[in-house]
Amino acid sequence: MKAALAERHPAKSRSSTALIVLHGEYDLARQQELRHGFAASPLFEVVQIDMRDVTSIDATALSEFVRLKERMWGFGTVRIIGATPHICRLFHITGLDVRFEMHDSFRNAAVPFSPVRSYP
Amino acid sequence: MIDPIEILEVEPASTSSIFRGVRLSTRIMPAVLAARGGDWCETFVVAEDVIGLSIGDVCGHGSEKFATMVAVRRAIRDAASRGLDPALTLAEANRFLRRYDPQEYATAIFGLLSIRRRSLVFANAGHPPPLMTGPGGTAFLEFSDSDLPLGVEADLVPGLRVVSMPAATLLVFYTDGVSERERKPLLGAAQLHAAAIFAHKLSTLQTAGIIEEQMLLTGSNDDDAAILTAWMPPASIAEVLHAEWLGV
Repeated sequence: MKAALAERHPAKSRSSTALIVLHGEYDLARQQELRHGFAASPLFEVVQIDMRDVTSIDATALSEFVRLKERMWGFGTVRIIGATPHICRLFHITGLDVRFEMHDSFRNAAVPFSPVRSYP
Repeated sequence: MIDPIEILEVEPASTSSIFRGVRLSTRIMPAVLAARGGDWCETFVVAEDVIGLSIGDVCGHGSEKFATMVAVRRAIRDAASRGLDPALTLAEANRFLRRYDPQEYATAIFGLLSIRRRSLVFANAGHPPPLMTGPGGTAFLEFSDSDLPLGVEADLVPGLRVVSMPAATLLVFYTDGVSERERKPLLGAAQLHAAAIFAHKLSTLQTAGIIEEQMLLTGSNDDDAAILTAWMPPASIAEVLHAEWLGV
């Protein structure tokens, strides 16, 4: 299976930004993969999640975003980048759209970020 | 004391009933290959002319979510039976879930359908929006601000929504296993929209089952799914004459 979490910056201080790149469909079968990918997020001040290549997520995947936000609560920012309209709608239905920063592109994200992308 | 899980083991997968002219139907469909699931829906009488409508989805699916589903569903019912409004009912259920299993999340809607006032008061904790269809048109009951699912925050109190339920209006509650089948939520929403209009025109007692058939869910749902419908009775002759007399 293609690695879903292609890259995470190996920063060790909280003054840094992490990039998590997601691909494809996320459902119950990939819940643990997502949880593992989000595990190091509290180490970072800003976590940017690139969702441009995500085609769908279900409630179990959404619950991992909730857990991520809980772990980051009050200590950092999570930016969702490039989510499709129907994924944005899911975030809205569940009230998560106001808990995360939602941006349609990296260009429109509040803080400039130029990651070195390395897809497998 | 009877174990609540024992009761639900024998609960029928579908129900239909009429209460003071309101036609109610439910359909619960665990994911294919799962005997039980994490979705629920039910209706129960709260007062002389008020019906409680409850639907929800414990995140994940299959048998392992069943016990949590039973517990949350019961917490909602217990809170509603104490006379709490839908927002406070879900707030109570949220507190319960945080104690019962801090790792679990659930989306839910609880509503009170007043037959005399022809109105629905409901609260929505992160659940797909209800659908309403009738002489006035068809629409999802979506609002600009949404509330989080149960279990996410300790002090959740979702907003209270009030909508009128005109005569001959069909209300449809559903879980994401219905609207997001095949991972195509936009298509699913459009299909549900059409299915609700079809079921409204058909006007049978088994409305939830009709919607299930129209959505091609029977025997092919890979996620838990649940449908609840409430069909308000047509206006009586007395109501029509009264409305004409008022010039409405």
